[in-house]
Amino acid sequence: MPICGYLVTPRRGKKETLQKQLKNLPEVEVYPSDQHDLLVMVTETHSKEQDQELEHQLKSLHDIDCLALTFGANAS
Amino acid sequence: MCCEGREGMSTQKASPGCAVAILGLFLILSFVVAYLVEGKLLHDEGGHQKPLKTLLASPVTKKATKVVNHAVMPGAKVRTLREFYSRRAYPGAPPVIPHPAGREDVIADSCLSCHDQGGYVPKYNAFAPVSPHPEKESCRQCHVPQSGKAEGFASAWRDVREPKRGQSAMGGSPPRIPHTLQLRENCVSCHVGPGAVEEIRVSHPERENCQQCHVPRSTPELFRSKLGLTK
Amino acid sequence: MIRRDILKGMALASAATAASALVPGVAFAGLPDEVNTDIQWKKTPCRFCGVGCGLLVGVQKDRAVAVKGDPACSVNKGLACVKGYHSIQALYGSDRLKKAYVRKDGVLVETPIKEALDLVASKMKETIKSHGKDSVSIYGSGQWTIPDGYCASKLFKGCIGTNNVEANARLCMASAVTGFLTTFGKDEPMGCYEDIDYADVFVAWGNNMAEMHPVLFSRVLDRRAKSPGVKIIDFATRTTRTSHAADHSYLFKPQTDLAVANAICYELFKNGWVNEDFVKNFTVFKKGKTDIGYGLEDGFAFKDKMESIDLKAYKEFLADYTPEKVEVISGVPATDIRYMAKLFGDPRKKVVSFWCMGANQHTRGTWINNLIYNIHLLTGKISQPGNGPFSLTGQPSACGTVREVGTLTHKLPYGVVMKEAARRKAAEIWNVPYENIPSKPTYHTVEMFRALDRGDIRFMWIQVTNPMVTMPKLNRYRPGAQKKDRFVVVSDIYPTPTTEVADVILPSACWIEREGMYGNSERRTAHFEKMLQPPGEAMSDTWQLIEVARRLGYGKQFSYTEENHIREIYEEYRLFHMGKTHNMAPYDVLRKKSGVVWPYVDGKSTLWRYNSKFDPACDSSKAFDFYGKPEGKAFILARPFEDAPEKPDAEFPFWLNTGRVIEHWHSGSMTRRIPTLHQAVPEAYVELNPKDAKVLNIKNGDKVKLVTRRGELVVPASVDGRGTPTPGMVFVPFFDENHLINNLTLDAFCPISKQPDYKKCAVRVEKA
Repeated sequence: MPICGYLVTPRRGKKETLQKQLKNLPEVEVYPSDQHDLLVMVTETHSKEQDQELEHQLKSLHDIDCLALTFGANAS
Repeated sequence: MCCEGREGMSTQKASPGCAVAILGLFLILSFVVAYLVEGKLLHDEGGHQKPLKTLLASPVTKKATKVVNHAVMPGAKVRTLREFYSRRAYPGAPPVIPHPAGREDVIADSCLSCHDQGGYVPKYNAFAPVSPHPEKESCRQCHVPQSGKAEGFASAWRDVREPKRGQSAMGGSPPRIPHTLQLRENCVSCHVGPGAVEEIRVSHPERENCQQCHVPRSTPELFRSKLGLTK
Repeated sequence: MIRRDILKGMALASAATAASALVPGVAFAGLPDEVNTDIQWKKTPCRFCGVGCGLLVGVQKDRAVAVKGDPACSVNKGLACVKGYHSIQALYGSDRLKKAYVRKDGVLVETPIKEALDLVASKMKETIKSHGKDSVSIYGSGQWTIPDGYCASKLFKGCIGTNNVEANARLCMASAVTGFLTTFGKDEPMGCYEDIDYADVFVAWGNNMAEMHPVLFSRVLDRRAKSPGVKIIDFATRTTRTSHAADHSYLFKPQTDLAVANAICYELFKNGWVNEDFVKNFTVFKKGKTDIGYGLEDGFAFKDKMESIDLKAYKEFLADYTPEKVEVISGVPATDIRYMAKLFGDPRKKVVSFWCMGANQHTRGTWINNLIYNIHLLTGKISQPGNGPFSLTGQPSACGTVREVGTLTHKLPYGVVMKEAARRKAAEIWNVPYENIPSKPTYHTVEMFRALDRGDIRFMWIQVTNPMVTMPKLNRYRPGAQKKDRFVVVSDIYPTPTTEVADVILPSACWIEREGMYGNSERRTAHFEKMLQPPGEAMSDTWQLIEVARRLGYGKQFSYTEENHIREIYEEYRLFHMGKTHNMAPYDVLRKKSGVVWPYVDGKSTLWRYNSKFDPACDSSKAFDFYGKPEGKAFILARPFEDAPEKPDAEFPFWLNTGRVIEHWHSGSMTRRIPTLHQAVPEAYVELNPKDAKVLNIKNGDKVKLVTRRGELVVPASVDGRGTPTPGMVFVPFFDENHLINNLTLDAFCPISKQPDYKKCAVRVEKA
């Protein structure tokens, strides 16, 4: 099941809130940059349903300005 | 830029005032051309100094001068970063002696005859690396040759990644020194001259005071003010 | 790492890279270490020799990956040697012991460590029940950390109640110890490494310092390079790298160092170079027994007897040692003897003497130590910066553990077992009944292995040492350990010839895989934290001892907590040494600093002892106070020249000398698994003098057969190689377990120190 790496640009001033929101998602590991408004994220899902659910949830996060997929691999 | 202007110059009969102007322009242009040509000769597209053939001697530290002013040898073996690391158990380890090491019964044979100032060694068709610490007399205390006998105990030693190069804070910033300076304070040894490691030979050895711009990273931590004014 | 983790790491790395393309210099400090390549540097004393260099080990993701010299450590000031720089690779040999093994029907069977520890304890109980307390023993090491040795001593001497505690430092430093005790009444050097920065003359007495204490030798070279007129004198039986680096090299016939030292004293008197005030105020003259034997028989016993003599008698004694007479005995020209004497005698020159195995592994090792002290006492060149005799230690903690904790048959952490006050103190701190601690020493190392052979000892626990490579006369002691009804437990990190004779093998944590402290030659105690996880079920030697102690019913004495046991043990041990003469720094100070010298008094290290200017333990009304002796007066001992027990003769016409090379530590079990070191010196060899090689028709690389009365060995020849013995001598390094030179050596020892002489026996040399 896919493991993906993302570069996340939050909306201005929303880095902390977004970080909290992303942390709440179980399939997600998030690491904020020390001094810039950027976050690095890794997601790991184990089923198609989980995958779709995660996509849905990420889409609903309005504090994400830009989400760039940098890596994708099937881990199974 | 100015190149285009040069090509676009037409020939026509000139008056004295015009002649002065043309002469002046010519002088300016020749400076410009010389600058560009020199740049093209010394630097490739990536801005890295071209090796050997085009290296010009420049008065740096006395030692660097002696290193750089040795005859430049076309076709000489080049010292690569891969070779550099293959001689070291880990980045920063004392390199092994990769050639027959002379007398074994002394703390140092004639090591410094090649490694104090560098120079071209016909036998190996290569430039001898310059030691960054020639004041240490007992070379064999840290540097040992290898017998080439492969049998022995197997080791599960895993090497660490070599330090990343080009660690600049911003595009164009002087990259920080990615290694410790202990026993490696003389930058010239690896970064200047024909004996330098190819990939890290510097573009501007003439600036002498390397540490004016290039600094080591003494701590991975960032500064955090303890004053508590901004919460 | 499993595939998923690798992929996650790649995912993070790719995102981080993309970020840095967007925003150069962006940092993600919270990223796990797969992406962050930052290495953490942690301080530790080196695992190897007694110089005790401070190192910084680079740890990345629970692996040691790099080494730097610690610039904050005054011992080495950021420099190390080839062994130190590659030391961490010793942790990663492929055959590292990760599990315990128990020998069943001759075959070693993998066993969970808890079970193995149960077996060790039950076997100890059983052996004690059948054969008494003195049938169990422990043989440890100068590579034991302080807590290791302390627990061993407490368990065996305090709880079980036997003095069968010995360590391999008996084989390397015992003569140095008895030399100190007979001359000064207290162990360990009075100077420190700072002496190197002040001395004008360095004399190496039979030690190849360039290879054996290389970083200190570099400090000596540095001193010479910076100060014109500084001289290095090499006084040896073999030409080495040290000889070539020295200003003068004087070769003497084996054992005749005793004669030459006395000849130097003769010359001091003859030329009026004796510091008469110093001698009158701070020394007394004594003599001991002569013709004292060599310990070759089982149960050999010797007790010295001190007698006072006067100056006149001492001078009469020296009359036998004129340079001319000694030239005949030693082969050192009289002019050279006079030159050396002049260097010692010149009041304007500060002189430091260094010595190690050449003087200690000597059938008169105690005596030669005394004689070197005599020279420094007669000239008053002692206990001052740049002026003094410095006995170098070989192992990283022979001082810190074996000598200071006292893991020898006659010792306690404070004092000796023979003294009631010392036993009472130990009983109190150890919380054991006073009657437990026996008052009579039992066996020193050679005798302990003889006892194992005879059956007087039935159980031996060996930790951090490899006696089946390093004991002399192995052809007796190896079969001895393998006899029926002998139970041998070996704690080690790799399979060795010693684990070959084990009934139980316990996998040990190595060095920085556990917390500990070492004490080096200059009385410096250095702490290292646990930086890595030991592999598999490997367990620190300290914890192995605690586990067994608890199983033996000594839970109360060994109630240390797992998280803090090293601190608890050290702070308990410290109680033994309180006072100005030996105070040890508190644990918290050791943690912070790159080593602290004892005596540590009022927050300061005592660098020079016995000198009122520097040592608060002195009687301040005197300039010097050798407070280990009555009236603060050191002993100048009239020790004669007595020859070696087995000299070359018609049948065995060569001297056999053994020793080391810089690349290898001891029996090679660690350094031969370090690729760079093994590749530098892959196997043992025999050095021959070119003249002898020519006569024997042996060329460099030819196979040579060596035969002594005890065994034989075939090794390749080294002619004009690293070292050149004097004609009539051969030299073999002992690091190679496939070429056991100790099958050939003799187990003769100094009757006072009981330290064997590995440098002198008779051998026949033939082309093989």
